[in-house]
Amino acid sequence: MRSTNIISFLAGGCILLGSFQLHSKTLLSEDFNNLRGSKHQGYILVEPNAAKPGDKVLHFSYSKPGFNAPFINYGNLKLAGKVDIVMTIKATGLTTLKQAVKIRFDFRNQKTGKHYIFHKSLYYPAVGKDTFKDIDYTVKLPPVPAEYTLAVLPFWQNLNPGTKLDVWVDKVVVKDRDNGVPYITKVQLNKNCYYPGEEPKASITVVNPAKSSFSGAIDLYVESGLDSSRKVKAEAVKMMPDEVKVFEIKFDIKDKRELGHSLVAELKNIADKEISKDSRYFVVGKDARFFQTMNFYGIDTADQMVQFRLFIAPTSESEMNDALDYMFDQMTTRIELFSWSWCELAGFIPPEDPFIGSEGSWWSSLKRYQHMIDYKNSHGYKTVSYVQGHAWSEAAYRLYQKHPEWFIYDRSGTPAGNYYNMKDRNNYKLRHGDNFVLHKNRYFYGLLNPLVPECREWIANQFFELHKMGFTGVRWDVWSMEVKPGWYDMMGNELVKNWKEADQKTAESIQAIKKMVNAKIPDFTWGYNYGAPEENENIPMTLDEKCRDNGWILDETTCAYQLKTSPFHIWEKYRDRIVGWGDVVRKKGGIYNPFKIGRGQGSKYDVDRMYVGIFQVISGGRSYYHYENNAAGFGRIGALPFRFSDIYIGRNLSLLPQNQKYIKVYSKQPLWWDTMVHENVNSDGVKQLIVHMANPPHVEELEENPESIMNPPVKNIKVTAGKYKGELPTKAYIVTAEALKAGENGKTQSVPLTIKKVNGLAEITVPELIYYKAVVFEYK
Amino acid sequence: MRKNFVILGIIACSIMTVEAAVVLTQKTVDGQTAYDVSTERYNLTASPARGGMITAFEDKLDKKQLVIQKKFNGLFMDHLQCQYWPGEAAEVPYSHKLVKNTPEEVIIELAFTFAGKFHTGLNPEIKDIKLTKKFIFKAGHPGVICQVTISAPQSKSVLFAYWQQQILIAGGQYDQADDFSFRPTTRGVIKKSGTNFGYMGIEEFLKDYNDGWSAIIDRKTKSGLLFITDYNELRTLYCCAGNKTVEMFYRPTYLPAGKSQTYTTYMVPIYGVDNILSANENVILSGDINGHHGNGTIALSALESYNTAKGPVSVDLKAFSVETPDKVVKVGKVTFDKLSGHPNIKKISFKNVGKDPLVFGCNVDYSNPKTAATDFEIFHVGSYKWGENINTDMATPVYQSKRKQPVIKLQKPANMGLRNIGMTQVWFIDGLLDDYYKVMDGLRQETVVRPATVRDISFVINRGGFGLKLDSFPYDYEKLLKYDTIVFGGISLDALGIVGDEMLTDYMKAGGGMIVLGGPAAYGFSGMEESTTAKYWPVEFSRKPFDLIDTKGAVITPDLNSEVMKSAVDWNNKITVRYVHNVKVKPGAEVLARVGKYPFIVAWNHGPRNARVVCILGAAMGSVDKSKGTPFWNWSDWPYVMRNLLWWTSKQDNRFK
Repeated sequence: MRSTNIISFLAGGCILLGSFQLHSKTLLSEDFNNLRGSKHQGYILVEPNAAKPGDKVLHFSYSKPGFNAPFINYGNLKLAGKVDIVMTIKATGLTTLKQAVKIRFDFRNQKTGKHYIFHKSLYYPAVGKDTFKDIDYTVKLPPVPAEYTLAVLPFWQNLNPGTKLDVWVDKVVVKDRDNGVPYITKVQLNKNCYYPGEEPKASITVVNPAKSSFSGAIDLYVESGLDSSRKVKAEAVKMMPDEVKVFEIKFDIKDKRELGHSLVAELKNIADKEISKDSRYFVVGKDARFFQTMNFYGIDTADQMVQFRLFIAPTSESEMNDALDYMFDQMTTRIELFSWSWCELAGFIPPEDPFIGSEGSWWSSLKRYQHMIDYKNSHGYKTVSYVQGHAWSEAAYRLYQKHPEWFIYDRSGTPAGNYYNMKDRNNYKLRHGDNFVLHKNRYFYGLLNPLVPECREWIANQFFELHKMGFTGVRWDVWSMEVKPGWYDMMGNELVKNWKEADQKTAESIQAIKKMVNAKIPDFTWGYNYGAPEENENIPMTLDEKCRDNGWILDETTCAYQLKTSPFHIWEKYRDRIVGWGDVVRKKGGIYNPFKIGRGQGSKYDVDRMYVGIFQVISGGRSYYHYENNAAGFGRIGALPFRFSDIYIGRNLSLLPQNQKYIKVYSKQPLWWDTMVHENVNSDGVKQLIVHMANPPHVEELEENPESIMNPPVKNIKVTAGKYKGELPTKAYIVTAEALKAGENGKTQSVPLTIKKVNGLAEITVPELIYYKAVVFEYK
Repeated sequence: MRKNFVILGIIACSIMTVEAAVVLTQKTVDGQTAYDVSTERYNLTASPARGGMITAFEDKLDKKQLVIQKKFNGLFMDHLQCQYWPGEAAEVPYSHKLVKNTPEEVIIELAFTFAGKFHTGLNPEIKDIKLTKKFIFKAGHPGVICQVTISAPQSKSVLFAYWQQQILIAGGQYDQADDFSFRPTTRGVIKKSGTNFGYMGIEEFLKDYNDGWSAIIDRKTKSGLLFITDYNELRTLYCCAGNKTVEMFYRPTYLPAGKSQTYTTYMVPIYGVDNILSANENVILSGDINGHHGNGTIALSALESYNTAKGPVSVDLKAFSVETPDKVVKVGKVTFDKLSGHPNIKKISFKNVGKDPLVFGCNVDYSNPKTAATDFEIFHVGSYKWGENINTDMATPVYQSKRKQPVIKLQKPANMGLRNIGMTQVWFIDGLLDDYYKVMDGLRQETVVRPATVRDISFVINRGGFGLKLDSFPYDYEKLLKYDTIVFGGISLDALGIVGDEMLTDYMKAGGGMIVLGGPAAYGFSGMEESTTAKYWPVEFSRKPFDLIDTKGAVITPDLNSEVMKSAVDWNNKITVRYVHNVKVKPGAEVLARVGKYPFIVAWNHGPRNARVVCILGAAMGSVDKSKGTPFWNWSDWPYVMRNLLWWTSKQDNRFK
């Protein structure tokens, strides 16, 4: 195989993939024309290109899931920052959304041996069926130039036996951003979320590949809202020949609103001409949890298990550090250390290190947790401790022995929690012996009586201990200060007689613990489970108290809505349930956190994951699992509420009833919109009407579309807006994460629209909607 | 006279016509013998080479194959519970012989001897146990009888627990949502599919069963299989994954050398009904209740069971609201004149019973003096908001019937006296907070003197909804009778079970020693007041939990006339306790220590062989103000008090001289 290596050429002015690349250099261009024989790597057919005489193409066919040997394996590629890959390709047997085959790009740093792996799924219409088309892909490597080996190989998904799927590759081109003049390889910020008034620090990595020194400037701009951009800093830069330099630049945001932004860095030469540009999102707010909308993984993320490296003990320190950096770059703003502690409410923090934590499941390191918390706090996260709600194991056993009157009992007189295991307790005593085998059980479960003042004090003290460790909030799970009929104190007195009293006493208890803790730590935050409407029918006061003042409300029952027995098994019902309840939680002051359908990996099919993501985003839902699929043109939907926070998670949003009179949408094809119209006043005080539009599911039920079939894109959608509070809109925008047109890559952006006035109404046209887009009308 | 003979002849011919013959055909499958059996009601295959299971079964009424034709699928799969699934008896050849082969009856006998080894696991305790299984197929009976006999070798006693598994697909294919298992409990019949397990969860192990049957029925085809066994021998009714199996776990059983124990199971095919309310060898009852607020209709269906009751069967119904159990309303009687394999449906209305949920008490009369009437209850949720027989806490039942007391017949050694082997043997039941009594510290003092002391510990495990259990119990009398003293920590009567209770009673009768500890799972919390073991205890106590009295930290006053109390112990320091159990000292018992007016330690000699029992009534928990004294569990001399009690209960009186 021969490739055209290090062919420099200027591709002046071309803009790829929404980045701001001005020039590039081709490092590898492989057309396979020099291959001999009819097979390559023993499994790939080398065939003539019927449409182009003398041209050869590679032909792959699906036989079983997994990887095949690389069809490109090339070394000594000096790369830094963003690298663009263009593949000329066609295929038969693909769909528009179901994962079938990915192309895997494995960049191995030749010095360190570390691999940087990227996947690109193939879909129609980005990939041609009958004719070869170029598909573009941009990957991000570390900002400092290094030599890499690149292996490219097919990665087949688990398809039905007998599936016919063929892929032909005509050409692969790899380009970097080096055109002989300095270029930005990374824009980094020291935090994802800044407290209002806090001064951010940007780190701009610039590579000067030239043999001459460079003088110029870096200009920083902050983009906000739908169309605002302002310059916040200009910093002179000087670089030596062949120098790689990180410029640390502090800047004043000049904006204390709770809002999402984008920092844009422009590198300019001495003539004030822009020669390179890159950007990064960030947010400003008092409570970083408010912005937790960016997903951990896209469907093409090579490693979908990164989060577990922060949780499972066998992870090495370097694996953990990589995971922390990954999470940071994914724009995480809230992190919850799940079930990590020693004995929960009986004592989160162990007296020994290492300790048996995580619900008695494995040995954990307090030092490691401390390191993680410090990292997260210094990177602008809200670091929250999971609180299971029980007191368990060693500390709970001792506490129970000392204060049995603090605990709740069931009617048989057993401590509520109703679990203990004296064999496991005996085993725990042997934990320092070489022959110790962990039983992986908590050996005592108890619940503290929240009506006992000493218990409230005890619990508050536990949270103070958490705060000393660096946690700035908690999220309760199984129990959160509840009392119920059927629970007793130690002497056999029933705590409450009915659910009304239970609601009142529970709400009082939650309020009391919040007051005790917030009196000393005002910013300490709260979160809860059991936030579904069906779980709160009889406990309205409890729900109000949980939501009040930014309560993080997990709506977990949604995880089973795909079951046929669920009334929300129908997409229309699911849509209105999620969007409607998100509105209720928001108005009560809560931060809505709906659970994905299915546990673990989520729904079985991509199409379901996608629609769940759409409705959760429209609902104002915070999540780590919003669906992301750039290759299918869907984009990163979680970036919408992060960047355009006013439109999706603003505190003034209000869902309008289905019969609202302001907005009308006209489409020849079916389109969902009329139960998803919000009114809003944004952080500038501008009145807005927002209509969310979704291409309706091809199959009306959840998890009944195994091939992930989509309806065709909806074209030429006419949207009209009438007078709202006496005025017609003056501006209109499309807000989207998906591609503007099918076959293109997704891009998070707001696009201004031209308003026509027709019959006293403001009218705009959305040319094409593939999956989901929003239209915002502004009234000034 | 001749006319009579003709009539008799006609009747006989009719019977022969109705009760078609049992037909047995031997065949060879993969070189191994298998038996095909056909009756009027079913076709089946018994496969000696496959663990002696029935590996195919088709009810001629629904014409569906109910056994998946793969390994480890079948009916009457044998296991011993000490081995993990599938155990050494599954899918291995059994020896076999045809005991009887007539048109009226076919009997196949199969046998397997356990080696006590399965994969890498060794179970020497079951080595040489012989399992003999008889399949009995009778003309005119709709089902199959399976008799499994477990025999101890001639040379040793054994302790085993039998487990019989039925893996079937009701309706001929597995349907997660529409195949249901049915198991009778004190909370009503528990019905589970393979999904939506309800508030109470999957409930695979049922401990509150109150009858000896289980069934799996396909709701759509209204067909399946029912299994009936001896309620008295059961430990739990199990069902895998909600609806994939029904399994009888029998209780651990001790067999003296050379003795046997037999387990009988009746299997009856079900057709035409989608649920089971009650079942025994004589009749199977199914039904639906429609109605709210105390008014409605009951539709009862009756099917023939294995014995096919010949005469009419009547069901007399009474009802009451759970809220007013004393207000019983007579509903009426329905009579089924003739039973068959097809359901016979009768409807009856009820009125003004009261607020939902309701309980219907049913008395079944067989109009046959040889068949005793039977009772069962139907729980009807109606409009009760919380459903599924649960209270507002979503965990405890809103109604529970009283469980029938099983009748057991333990096999016991001829010599039921203590073995007195010459070194102190102690068994400690370690329950919640019992480690604070420092039993082991007391035993360590004992060890100084007698290094050969044996200390066995059984740990109490509370498994939530399944209640308490012990991780081990000396079901072997030879082992139990070697103990000089048992330290009885926080364990419930439910966890001991009737076998444990009877064996401990035997131990007491044999003159054993016992120290009963207090605490959060003891006395009133334990339910032991209803046990026969507690009749040997020197105190009476509550049958209800929450029997602790808060003394606020009162000082313990010992009886210093007692050597047991004063030997090597200094009571001059103020020794306190926070909580004591509210008990009544039985006549003849001696109070060795008090807390004000409440007894703290009570002892006596009792029973035919002077069993020595000590009850410690103080709970080792709670906080005591330092100014009031030292809690007994923190007192440095407390282990010596325990040592003295161990000496006294194990009749080592010479220690006090």
